[in-house]
Amino acid sequence: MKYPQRKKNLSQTYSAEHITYLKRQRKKSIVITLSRVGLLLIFLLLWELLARFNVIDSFISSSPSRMAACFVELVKGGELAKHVGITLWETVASFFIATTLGTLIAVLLWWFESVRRVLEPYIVILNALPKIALGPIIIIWMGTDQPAIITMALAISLFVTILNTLSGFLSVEKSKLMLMQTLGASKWQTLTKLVLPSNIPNIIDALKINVGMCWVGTIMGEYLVSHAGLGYLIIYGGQVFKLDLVMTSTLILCCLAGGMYYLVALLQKFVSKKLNIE
Amino acid sequence: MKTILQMQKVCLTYHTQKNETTAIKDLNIEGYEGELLGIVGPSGCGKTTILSLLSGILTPSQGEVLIEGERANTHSGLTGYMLQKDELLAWRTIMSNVLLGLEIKKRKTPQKVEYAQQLLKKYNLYEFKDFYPNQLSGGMKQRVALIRTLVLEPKLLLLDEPFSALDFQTRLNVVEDVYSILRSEGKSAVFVTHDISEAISLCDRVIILTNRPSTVKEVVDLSPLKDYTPLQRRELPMFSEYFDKIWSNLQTTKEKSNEIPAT
Repeated sequence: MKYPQRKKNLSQTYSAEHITYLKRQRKKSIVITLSRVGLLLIFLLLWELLARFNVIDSFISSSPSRMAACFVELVKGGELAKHVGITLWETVASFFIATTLGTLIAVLLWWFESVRRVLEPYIVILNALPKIALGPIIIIWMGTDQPAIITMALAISLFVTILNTLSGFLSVEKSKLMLMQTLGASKWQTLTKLVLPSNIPNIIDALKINVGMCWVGTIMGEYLVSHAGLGYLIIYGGQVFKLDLVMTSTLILCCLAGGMYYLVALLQKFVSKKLNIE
Repeated sequence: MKTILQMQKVCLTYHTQKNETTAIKDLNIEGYEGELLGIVGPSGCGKTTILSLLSGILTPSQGEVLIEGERANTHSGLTGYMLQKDELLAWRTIMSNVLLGLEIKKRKTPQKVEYAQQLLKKYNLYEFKDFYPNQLSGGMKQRVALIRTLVLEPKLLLLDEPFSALDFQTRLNVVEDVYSILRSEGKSAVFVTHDISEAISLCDRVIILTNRPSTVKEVVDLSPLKDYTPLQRRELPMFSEYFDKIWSNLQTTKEKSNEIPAT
């Protein structure tokens, strides 16, 4: 929610009409925030009430209070920290590897045009392939532990990163490239002084997509092979029909994924401001 | 007068998968030190190609392009290229945009930075040195682009329709500014345009090109206008005479081109 920055001395800076306008805008944004929170509360309340009065079967739908109890139990047993830690570590690791490796490969493909033309169809096909199909291969090659999960997450996020970043690199304005040429810039200088800086917004957008992709990959990986993690908790909960566990883990997952996305959005805001990008 | 640029029997052919296009053929041009040389011609006649040749970005298929007797190349530092649009980098401040060329050429010394500051001061842009390009008007940005070129201290400036992206009023003022900057720095320049009145208001001599493959059709000497600034020139009765002369020349090239369809 954005409030006017110079709120304190409104009357000094703005006309009366503008102040009314700002107030109306502020009121509107407050209403929206309240509605957002309200929607969640009403949903939880309804869920709880329907479960309490046995309108829905809380054995298969769980309920907010049962989820809370489950949460407390998980925290007390020290299990929550362990599972969250493992999943988080897998996601963050694959996120960093995918971003770094993806950008690096995109740079190489930008640099060597012939290599790009040779590899392009392969990358496009690998990107289109449903990665879950690689599950058995990954298990056999990487074992049934964290490396397999990270590989799965990478399989999902890497090709998208390469393709998005590369297309950003290739769409640098011709006239800007001409400028670098007229100044006698080397390929390395063109990369570091023009292509990379002008693509920072693109790269950050790729990060945003990657956050989602890496979560998908990690949970999918955990479904396939793991002995721990939130994905494991969900699959396990499903197998033994503990819907409380499934719902609680899913909710935690929601919060974590949202939080990570928010961090990247913060980074984007910070970098945009620093680099003067709108 | 000392010759600064020579193009001798220059030919240039572009190759694409589908066909080859001869952009210029047997072109002979000479430019002198301190002269503002205009090149006008029908659109698509290879004006930008000529500047690319002079800057050394392109090498001629045949013939020689010499700058101060040396074969044109991008590393000599003899030429400075100013593009159609300012092409300032949005993430760099004005100062850092001005220094871009020096950074690339690895010539960013304290003296050069000092020189850049002087130029910014001289042309009333110093107070904006920490601003970003999007905070400046189009005319100001174009002046910054010119300073970015001047900082490299080129002997010969190559201007590729540098005002075409500006609105008319800004354009008149920026032409005036650029003219006075070029004169006060004592630079030689080649100025490419399709705007006849702009060529007359800025140049000492105008070369009219034929249609593609282009060669020199006519040279118009504008030295009688030498003591007038661009805006003053527009007021002179001679201005429209020159305009008619150049325009009729361009017209005849066009008629000719209608008979022989361009491939």
